[in-house]
Amino acid sequence: MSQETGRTIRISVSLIIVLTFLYLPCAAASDPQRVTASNFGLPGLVDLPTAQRFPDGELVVMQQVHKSLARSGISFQALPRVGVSFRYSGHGIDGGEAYGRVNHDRSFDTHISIFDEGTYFPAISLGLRDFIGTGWYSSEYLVGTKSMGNLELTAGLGFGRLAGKYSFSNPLSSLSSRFDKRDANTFGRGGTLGTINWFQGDAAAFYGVRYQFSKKITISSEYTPDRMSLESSYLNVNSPWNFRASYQLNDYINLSAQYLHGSQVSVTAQVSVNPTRPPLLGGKELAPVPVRLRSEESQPQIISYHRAIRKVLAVDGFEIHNIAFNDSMVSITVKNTKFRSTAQAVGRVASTLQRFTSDDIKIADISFMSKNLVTATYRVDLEAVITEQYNPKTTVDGRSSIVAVDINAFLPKKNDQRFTWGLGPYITHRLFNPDLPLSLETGVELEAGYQITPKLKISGAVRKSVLTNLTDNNRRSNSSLPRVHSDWPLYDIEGQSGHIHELKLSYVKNLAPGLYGRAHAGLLEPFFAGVGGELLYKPAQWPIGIGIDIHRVRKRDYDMRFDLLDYETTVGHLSVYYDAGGMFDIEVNAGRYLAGDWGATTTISRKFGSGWEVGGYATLTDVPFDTFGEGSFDKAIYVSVPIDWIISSPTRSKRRLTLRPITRDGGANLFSARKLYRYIKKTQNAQFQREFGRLWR
Amino acid sequence: MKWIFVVSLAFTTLISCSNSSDFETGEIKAIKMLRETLIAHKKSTILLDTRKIITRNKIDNAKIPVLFVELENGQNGTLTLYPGEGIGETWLGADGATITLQSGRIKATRGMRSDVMGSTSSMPPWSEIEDTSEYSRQISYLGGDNQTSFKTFSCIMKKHNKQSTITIFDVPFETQEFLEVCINGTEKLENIYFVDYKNVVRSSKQYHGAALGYLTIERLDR
Repeated sequence: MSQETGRTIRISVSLIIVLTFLYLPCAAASDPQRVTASNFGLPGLVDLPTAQRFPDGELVVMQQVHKSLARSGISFQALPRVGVSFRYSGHGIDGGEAYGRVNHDRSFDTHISIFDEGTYFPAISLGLRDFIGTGWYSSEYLVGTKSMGNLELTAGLGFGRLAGKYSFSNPLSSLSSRFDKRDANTFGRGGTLGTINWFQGDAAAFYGVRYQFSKKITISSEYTPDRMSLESSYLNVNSPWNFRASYQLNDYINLSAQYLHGSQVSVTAQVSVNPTRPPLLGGKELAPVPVRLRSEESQPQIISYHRAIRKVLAVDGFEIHNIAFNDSMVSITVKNTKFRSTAQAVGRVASTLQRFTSDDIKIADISFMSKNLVTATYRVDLEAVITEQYNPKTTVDGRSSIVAVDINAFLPKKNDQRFTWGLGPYITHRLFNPDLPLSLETGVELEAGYQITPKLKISGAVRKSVLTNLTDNNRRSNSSLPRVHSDWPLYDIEGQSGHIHELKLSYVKNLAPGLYGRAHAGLLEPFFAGVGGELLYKPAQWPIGIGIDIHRVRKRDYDMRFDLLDYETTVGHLSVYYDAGGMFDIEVNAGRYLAGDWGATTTISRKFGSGWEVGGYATLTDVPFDTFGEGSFDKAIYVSVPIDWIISSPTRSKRRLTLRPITRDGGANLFSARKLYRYIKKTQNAQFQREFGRLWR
Repeated sequence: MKWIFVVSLAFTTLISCSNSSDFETGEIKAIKMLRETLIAHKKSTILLDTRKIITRNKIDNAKIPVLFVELENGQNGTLTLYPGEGIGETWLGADGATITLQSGRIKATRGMRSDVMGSTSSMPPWSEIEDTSEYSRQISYLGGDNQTSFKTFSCIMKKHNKQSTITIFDVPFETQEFLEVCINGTEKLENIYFVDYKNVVRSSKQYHGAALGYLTIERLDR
């Protein structure tokens, strides 16, 4: 048999397997099984994908290790049918980078579910691997998966890196000749889409099987056409078959061992969480005050019990700044120190006022105060809520008994607590430096503030590092732009003997209903000192807020004490914020950045009713990608986790993890430039609606 | 020299503190939260069996309405009636949780795990149920994403033919037994009620939710 004939047979067999599998009706009903992630973080077998999808919102953090690979990743089911994944991989042995790696590579994947599995038809998905950046794993796939009881079969067509062994001409060529040949990857300084050659060039078949032995144990095997050419200098690739055994330790942790390429043992740990699936659904907490009947048949209440209101709200963690009775209305301004959920906080105050005010009081205005600003006000119909506490609605509608309103904010005349302080540890980190991929510092931070007037405050923080490897970094800025952020290694080193993190005079004010203002001056942040301010217009019922900020700043000396360097500039942005209480909120800031470049930052985040937030931002300015340097432009992804989701008890704490490449100068802005929207957004109507179910909890 | 700083950091971590919630760093808040959770976790392991503490004498001497509630795991406690007129009767426990009953049936709970956020039903009054009564019942819960979810059941309340005598803390009560069966798809609930001649539910076993299962509820005062 000639080589050509053998090749034709293999292609035909591969195609038959793929097509038969994709289209042959299969009568066996499938049991719902846990979707496992591949070593690439998205649904898969070992290294190859399956056509399944994670539940909406699923977040998977993973770590894979073998002799020549250390791969960390985070995956997120951003939409019900779209999953995305980010990975950071150290490749090779005996190389010149940290831990002896040949290179460190960041990559992004997306996995799009086209059809879910039916009784007779397999699930179908397609995906792009490493489609942003250097394209180390650049490949695409179309894959189908069908379950039969505990057995799950997968087959697909791979392109790019997945069209290695036994490849054949692209079936998509029949649709367009542009699929005939795959254009070479050109990626510049990385971080961009580079060459869009998706689904181009030859294709190859891949397939695999997964069997679920028990609820906890599964085994998988796959045939991969990937020749592993980029890894062949340090990895023996003896076989196209990969094997995996995985153990589901509990609802969150999956551990697996693999035998890869006929030569390499590998281990992977994956942690899966879902914002809509807290560890403890509904924790124990103090119940809210039950509302009382207010009708002609019920016992009348002719006086309002002020002391009871104050006592109950104090127990619920509210600091009362003001309470005023006026005809049929009570207005109260509180600081919420306990409940992360604004909806729950509104419900607590509303039920307390409903119960302990007299029958004459029909309406309550509940205002929330934070950072010396009144950040939102809710108007409550105290008679309408009677039937709602134990008969909750599903959504806010036009006839709601509780609505967000704009009012002239109460202005406190004095502060009970003028001097505030805090002492504790701090942790800071830097990521994705090839010489030092993860560097950490921890130390002691002392913060203090003095409220000069109700709106004017002086505050500061000093830090002293205790344990650090930030100083192990030998990389120095090579930026051709003004070094506004890329000098961070110098700040890390010079600041070791203790530094002033910030020291500033700040002023905030509710200027008019829906209009907020802030000004500040001093050592604004570790790298910059100066003066500036911002305005924000965000009416209560608008889904859109509009802001403007402007600052004149000068670079601080590297020891971060009082001295300043020569570089001085003006930065300013016009911002639009959109949040309608749905899945996503969007923020766009356009203007001038610290290096004098002009451009815009776009932030998109997926928000959950549980308080989770997963998002990312990108800044594109007039700095060319080549001038910007590695990564081409500034970008980051972040995850914000509410602590009450973990412990199921009320607390306002959240922890935020930001994954941001090495800081460069293009698109760099002041960290402290915009704060007003962050101050108010937690209490705004959009967030209230998102967590509406918690109103009467 | 460095070990002095390390010890200082460890000490600072342990004593991390502030006089204002505004001024707590993320780390301070996280540490406080963990500390409080650990303390709360230790406290929650101490369960008191109310049956061994209260007596009929104590119940009678209290001269106030008292409710006894027991979870499937044996955790139990007494609750007293919240004063004033509200939707149904709300009973308050020593741990700050409440249970609201309407005609002796669970209307809502608060402060317990996976609370019943609300419950509505078209069931007729106890006195009007002759033999069986069919009606619908809707129970709402709070989901993990803080959205309210509703379960609608088709229910049948069946009245038993003969009177039952039940004893609650040494006192016999003449009651009528009712069995409520509610079905929603594959989910089936079976609640039992013992109702006295004043239509007060003296004792019952009622479904709360997936987390807590069935609650035993007894009215202790005479």
